[in-house]
Amino acid sequence: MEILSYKKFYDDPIQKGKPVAKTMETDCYAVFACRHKFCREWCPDYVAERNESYSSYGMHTSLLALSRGQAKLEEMGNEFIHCLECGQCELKCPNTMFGGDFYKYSTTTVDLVRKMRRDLYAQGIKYDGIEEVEKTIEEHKQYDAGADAELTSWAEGLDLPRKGDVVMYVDYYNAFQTREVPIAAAKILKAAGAAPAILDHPAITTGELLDTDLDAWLDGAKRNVEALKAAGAKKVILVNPHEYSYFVKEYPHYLGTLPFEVVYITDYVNELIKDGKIKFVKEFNKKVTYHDPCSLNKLCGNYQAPREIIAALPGVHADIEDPVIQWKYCCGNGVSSAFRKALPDISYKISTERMERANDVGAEVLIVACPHCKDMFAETKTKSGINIEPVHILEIVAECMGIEV
Amino acid sequence: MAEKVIKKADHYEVEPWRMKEFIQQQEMNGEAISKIVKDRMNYLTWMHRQEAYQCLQGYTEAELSK
Repeated sequence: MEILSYKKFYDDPIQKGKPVAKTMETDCYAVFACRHKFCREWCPDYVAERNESYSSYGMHTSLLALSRGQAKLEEMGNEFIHCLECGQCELKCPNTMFGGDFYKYSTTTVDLVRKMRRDLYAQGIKYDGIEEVEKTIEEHKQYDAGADAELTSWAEGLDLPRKGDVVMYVDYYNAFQTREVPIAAAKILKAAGAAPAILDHPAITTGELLDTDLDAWLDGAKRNVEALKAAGAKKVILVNPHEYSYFVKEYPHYLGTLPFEVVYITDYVNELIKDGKIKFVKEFNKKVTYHDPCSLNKLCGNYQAPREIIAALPGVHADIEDPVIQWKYCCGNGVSSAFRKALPDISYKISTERMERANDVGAEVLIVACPHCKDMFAETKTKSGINIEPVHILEIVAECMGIEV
Repeated sequence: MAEKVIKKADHYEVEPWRMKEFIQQQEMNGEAISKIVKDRMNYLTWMHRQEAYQCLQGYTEAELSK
C-alpha cells in the first residue's frame, strides 16, 4: 500500500526576508477562508489548551499573515510545535473530507508542520524544548554509528535469519526503549512457523529527524530500502506504526514505489490467526479497551486488524470505541515525539484525558498497538494514579499463545 | 461548482483544467482518494448513529394522517 497525497510546492523553503510564494499563500487562504473549524474541535492540543493559534486554522492563518507581510518568520518559533502530527485536522477538514477526492486538493497540515519546523530550524529559529529533540537525534545518531550487534541485541537468542522473503523492520525506538514489542512479534511469528528475517543495521529514520533535517532523514530511508532489498525482502513487516506511516506515505513520496510490500504487524498477525497458524491456549480474562494509534488510524486508515485480533482472544471482555471517535484521541506523544519533548505538561494532559475515557468504559487494560503509546500511557499511569494498565497487543497475543516475553 | 466532471476508475473528479488558475491540484494517488472516500463514509455513518436518537419527526402521526 502507498498513500500519496502531497503538494510539490511545499518543497520550496520559506525563508527570512523573502516573499512567500503565491501558491503557498493561496493554499493557506483555503484553510483561513473556511469557517467550519472542524479542525479545531477535535484537535487534542486545542481541547487541552483552548488556544486557536495552534489549531490547523491558526497555523495556516499565521502563514497567510506572513505571506501578506503582516507577520515575521522570526516570531513563529513556537507556532508549529503545538502539533501532534496526528492528522485529525486534515482528515476532518471539509477541504479534504467533503471535496478532497473530487477536486484532488486537500488540507495537508502534517506535511505543512513538518516543512515549517524544518524551515525554521534551518534558519536557526528555535522553539522551546528543541534541546530535548536535538538530544534524541544525537542519541539515535550514536546508535546508527554503533556496532550491528548493539542494534540487534534485542534479538539475542531468538536466532532470526538475516535474509528472507519476509523481513521485520525494527526501528531504534523499539530496539532500545520498548524491546518487549519486537521480541513478542518475533516469538509469535516463530511459533506460527513464519520466522521473519531482520536487518543487521537498520538506519536512523526517527520522526524528530524528519522534523529537522529532511536530507539526513532521506539518507537513512534510502539506506533502509537498500538494506531491505539486499536482504531479499518481498514483504516488510513494521512493528512501529510511526515507521509504518513513513513507509506507506513518505518513502514512496521521496523514493518512488518500493520494491516490496509493506505490512503492519497487526495485519500480519491477524492473517495468521485467520489461517489457523496462531493457536491460543490461554484465556485473557480482563476488561479491555483499545486505543487506536494516530499514525495507524488517522494517517493510514488502518483500524480493523487490532479489533479483529482482540475479538479472537479467548476470555477477553472488550469495550472498544469507534475508530471515528478515536480521531479526537491521542496518547499525547505525537507522531514525531517532538511535541512530548517540547511540551511535556500538555502531553500529560492529553494522555490523562485519553486514559480517563478508557476508565469511563470500565477498562482494566488499555490495549495499544504502538510502542510510543505504551510508553506515554505507562508514564501517565504512574503520574496520575489512574489504575489502567497499558499493554501492547502483541504481548497479550503472546500470553494467550502461552509464550513468555 | 463545476458544471462538468470527469469519471476515472468509478470516481468523479472536477475537470482538471478548472484547477489551474486559482488552486492547483496536488499529487494524489488512487489509494489516497479511496482513503478520503472511506473516511467520509465512516464519519457520516458515525454522525448519523450519534444523532439518530435525537432526531425529531417533522410531523406527528396525527398531523400526517390529516
